[in-house]
Amino acid sequence: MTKMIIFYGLRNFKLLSIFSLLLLTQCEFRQNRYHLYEKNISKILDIDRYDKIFIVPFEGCGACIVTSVNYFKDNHKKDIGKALIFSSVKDVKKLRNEIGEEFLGSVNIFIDKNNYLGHSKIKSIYPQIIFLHKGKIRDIKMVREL
Amino acid sequence: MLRNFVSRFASRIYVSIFYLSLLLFSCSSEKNIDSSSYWQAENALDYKSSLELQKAGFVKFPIQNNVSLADINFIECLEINGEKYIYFYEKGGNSLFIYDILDFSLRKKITFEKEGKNRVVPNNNLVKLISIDSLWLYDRTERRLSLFHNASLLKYISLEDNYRQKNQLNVTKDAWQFSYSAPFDVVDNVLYVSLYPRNIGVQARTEENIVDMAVWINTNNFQAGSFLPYPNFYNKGNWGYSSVVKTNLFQTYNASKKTILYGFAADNFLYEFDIKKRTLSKKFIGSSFFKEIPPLSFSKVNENKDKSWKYVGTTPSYYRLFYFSDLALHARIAFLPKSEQMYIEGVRSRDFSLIFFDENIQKNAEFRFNNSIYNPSFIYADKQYIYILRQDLYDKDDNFLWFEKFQVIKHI
Repeated sequence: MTKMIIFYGLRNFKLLSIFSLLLLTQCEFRQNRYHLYEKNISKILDIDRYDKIFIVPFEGCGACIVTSVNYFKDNHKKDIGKALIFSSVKDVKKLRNEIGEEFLGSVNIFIDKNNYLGHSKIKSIYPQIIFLHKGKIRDIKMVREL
Repeated sequence: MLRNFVSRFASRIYVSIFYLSLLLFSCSSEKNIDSSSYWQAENALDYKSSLELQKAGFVKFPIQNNVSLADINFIECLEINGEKYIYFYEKGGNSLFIYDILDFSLRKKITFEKEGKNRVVPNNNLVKLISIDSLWLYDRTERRLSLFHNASLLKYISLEDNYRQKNQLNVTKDAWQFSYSAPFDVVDNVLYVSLYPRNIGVQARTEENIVDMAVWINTNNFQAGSFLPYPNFYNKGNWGYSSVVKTNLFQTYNASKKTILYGFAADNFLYEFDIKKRTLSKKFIGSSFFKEIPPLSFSKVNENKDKSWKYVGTTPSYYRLFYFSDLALHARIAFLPKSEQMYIEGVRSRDFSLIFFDENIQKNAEFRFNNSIYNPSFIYADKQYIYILRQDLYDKDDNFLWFEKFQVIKHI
């Protein structure tokens, strides 16, 4: 059995090397991307305090925005471990009129006024959920449906 | 053995050189295609600077709690019986707001119904006031042009039924729309409209099927005609598709000359339409900050959204046109180039310049403005002053539309 593994392993050495290299590159790419998210989110809120952050763009997929905001209102409005950041906000007054002043005033709701999340490697027309552990990103999910 | 190794090594080098040269050739060939619009130094870099802008304070117009700047496309001026107003349509509340220019008070608010006979569907609709009580309104959703007395509909015409389906005008065969960023003008019962060419950037056109971009509509009998052919240089590449375009047309009416001035987003030239003679003439007015407005690509193929947004966010283009009657001056806005790095980092604003030129279309001055401070969609003039919206002040206190006042000083 061991001999067979070594045999096939050696035979497919090139293939394995390429596959490993691809995996490593992908990991590196993901780590760099996560680092950029962590760096820019930290400019808006204290990232260590949350295990889940919703990023909701105020322009883009209109139906997704409504669904995400309603989902957050129903499930996490009073959960201090979860935060929601409104990104791509050109006019705070419009956001306030549409979302409601009371909800916007909640302690875990933030507005990306300086467009830190408008970085082209982060920006999305769909809401995103960031899963965190002790200030480090574990996973990012794009929300098209909740 | 050594010879074998050397020959194999040499052949690999040849192959590498071949691929490298192929790559270089493919990159350089694109740059050789001349697709730029015409440029000249005169009226761009070379002009007699004869204007000065001097800061002269601020004015502010109170706006209601439910009115936000994002729901207003632009403001316009109305001068009637010696009184001057600024007005705007706000899509959130489906309302028209008319302000007195002297005391900044809200003179009138007209709220349109959303359903029924008098309906207006809330959207980026365009309004042209012809008196304090009557107006023409272009409903973007229903694509109809209506005459209202306050919020009561007097008459309307459907663009789809009356013009497009009858194939009467030499305009694009797609469902055509009025421009988003340019007002339309009403002169002696005739409406002059700039079209919004949604798909034209990716449609190949030959000399035979060049379409017009401007339309006139007689408001008495709704007869219509088209003019101002789409400039030929646009045919050499793709200047964008859908909402991400540099094919937009802008216009302004000069009442003293009875002319309408048109300008395309990627064209250094302006087109002056003489209403009496029904003639078009071409005049050059360029920015001193850039020469050409390159296309997104050299083929008529739709590019992906990311590439399109980056193109629009970094390369220059022309924007709105104005005629300030008290000053006997025209102005053209140019959005200036922005670095790719700034775009990648999410810097949204793009500086703009205001190019002033006289009634003979001779450039007088050009001033650069920071787009995170000033908003070029909201500009008006009164007497010797021009007013530009201060975006930063609105962001701090959104109960008002804040304008910075500039005195225009002419040097003869």
